[in-house]
Amino acid sequence: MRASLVIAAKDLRQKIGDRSALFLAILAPLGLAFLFSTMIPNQDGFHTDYVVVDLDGGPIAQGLLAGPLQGLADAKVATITTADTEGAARAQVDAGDVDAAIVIPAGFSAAIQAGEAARLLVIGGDSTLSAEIARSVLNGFGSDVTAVQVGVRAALAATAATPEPSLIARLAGDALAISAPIVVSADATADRQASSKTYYGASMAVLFVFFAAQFGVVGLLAERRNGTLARMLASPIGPSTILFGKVLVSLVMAVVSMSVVVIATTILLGASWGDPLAVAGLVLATAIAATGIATLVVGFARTEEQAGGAIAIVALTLAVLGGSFFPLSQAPEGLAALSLLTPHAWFIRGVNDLAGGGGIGTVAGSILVLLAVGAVTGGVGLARARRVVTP
Amino acid sequence: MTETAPLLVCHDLRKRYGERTAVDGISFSIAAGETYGLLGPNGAGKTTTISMICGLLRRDGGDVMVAGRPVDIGATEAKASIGYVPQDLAIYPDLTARENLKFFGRLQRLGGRELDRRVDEILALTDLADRAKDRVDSYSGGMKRRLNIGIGLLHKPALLVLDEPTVGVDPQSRNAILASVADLGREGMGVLYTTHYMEEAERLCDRIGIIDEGRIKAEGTQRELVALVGQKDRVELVAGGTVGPATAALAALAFVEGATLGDGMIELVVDQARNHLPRILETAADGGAIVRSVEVVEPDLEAVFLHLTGKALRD
Repeated sequence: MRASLVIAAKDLRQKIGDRSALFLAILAPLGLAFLFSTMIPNQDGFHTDYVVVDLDGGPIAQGLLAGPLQGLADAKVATITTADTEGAARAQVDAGDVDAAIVIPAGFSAAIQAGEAARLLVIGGDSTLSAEIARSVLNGFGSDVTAVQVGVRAALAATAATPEPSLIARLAGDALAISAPIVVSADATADRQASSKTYYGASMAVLFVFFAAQFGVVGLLAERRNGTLARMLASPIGPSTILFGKVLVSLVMAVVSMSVVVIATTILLGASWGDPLAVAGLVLATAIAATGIATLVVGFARTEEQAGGAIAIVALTLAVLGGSFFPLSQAPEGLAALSLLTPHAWFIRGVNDLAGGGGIGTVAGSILVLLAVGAVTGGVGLARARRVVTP
Repeated sequence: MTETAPLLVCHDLRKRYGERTAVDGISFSIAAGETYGLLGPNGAGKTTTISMICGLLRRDGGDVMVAGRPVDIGATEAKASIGYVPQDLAIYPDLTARENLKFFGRLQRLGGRELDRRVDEILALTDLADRAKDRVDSYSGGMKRRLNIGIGLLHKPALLVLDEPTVGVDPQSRNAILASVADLGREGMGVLYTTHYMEEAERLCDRIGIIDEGRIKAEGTQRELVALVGQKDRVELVAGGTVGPATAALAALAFVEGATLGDGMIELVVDQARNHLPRILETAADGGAIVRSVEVVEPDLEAVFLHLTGKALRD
């Protein structure tokens, strides 16, 4: 163990002076995380401003204001203000003070109560998305109203009673007040999404951790070429001691690389990674997985150039499959399923899970999968790499 | 280990690479304080043999014992008795000489003040103390060579194994290396020295194993090897005066097997010539020759190798 630490300390001392190691392990992931998070528009949340003109003042109009529109305000999706006239609202839209205006015309409630067609007006501004959302919300409200109208007519037809306007109004009001019997709640993994700054920090950290992890185990091949491996082996230490020292370097480089990205994106970009203990667990497990895969590649390589090239190909392929370049929520179903074979997907999944709150238990599944990847690939890799040490 | 027990014992070492046999039943031993040379051309099996002795390479057969302990790849105790100096430079160019020495010293279980003291001693021995804090990639080839050897001496090994340490070295550094190895032998360290330079083996080694095609063809002191192939010494006398009668007188001596005269030089073929030099000079003077210089040319290992293998050392 002491000799392994001596070997690891020597390697790390060399890496400190190795600019390519510092670039690949720290500067590149950090730089790209900064670049992506500043160049790509913020997709963390949507907010719009609506102005509402209620020229009706009836109960159905009040239902619209207190129901769906207030719901948008409560969800902090929209800020709702009011205006007295359509002209005033239109002026605010034209001036860009609000994104869209919703006009409830006079007689709106009465028309509905009479079973007649009623119209709502949406005045869109530059943001067509805001107007589309307003139309969508109002269409949904219209569907609810239509359902109420059908129900009331059915009730009146069954009783063969003469429709009294006050009765119709009361039934319509009661019907609109009924809560929807079925509420669909969504908690899919893809729906739990870290902020874009956190996502790009995570994706770059897991992409470059493979480049960082190669520096220890690939060093075995370099030491063999330089003759220093034979000299180490001639010392009173076993082959496993040398292997363990190299793996330790890979692990330290991987952990340092990811930790720097996590800390720097938190401080400099405002990324929100979640519970520190859970993040530490994810980082360590991912570093172990990356070290295992790097060891596996080294076990099958003849030269350090061959190993470096193979690790780059493996890292980039896994990154594409694992969602390092785009969120898996935007990927085709097949790719999303395939991504589960990559450490990248499990790390990003863990980061996304932490975005919804929770501690280390929340990411226990991801951590276990990452550790299993590290154990399997590392185990096979070490068995192969032993042949590098003792031909 | 008793005083008479050999420091290194190799018995029937064997190693194959596919269809090619690199080492084919090599056996020899080295006593403490003895310098043993493995002399053979490139590809003879010297490095493979050394690699198995140092526990760097799995062997297909045979045994190695160093200081009474069996050597294998994981045999850490036996390896602690060995100082290994590889043929190619095995140092870190991006570290300083002191950092290189400290790293390999720690692997040899040295630490603390003892490590610092040994590092200072080796830096002084290799004449690198002034450059100890410089990165090795700024060193000359000779300095790197000296450091390469110094690392093998850090832990004061009982057996020093040097694999062709002078290949590609300038004459000045080569002489320094040979002098250092000779000193180590005199200080009681067992030395296994491989080379394909006949002069080095002749100069350094107490005993020599002639190795070719993975086998030791013959073994012994230089004189024993020469005797093995029946070669005699040659005595060259550069002389003036009446050299003709002197040559005849010398030819009549019982131990002289041949005498020729040519161009002011009398050439004699004599067995064990150094033992007979006084008588040769006395006879030449009595015959009227004025001897200006005398040189004894002993049969060299080149001739022995040629005799044993049918090819020259540098083939």
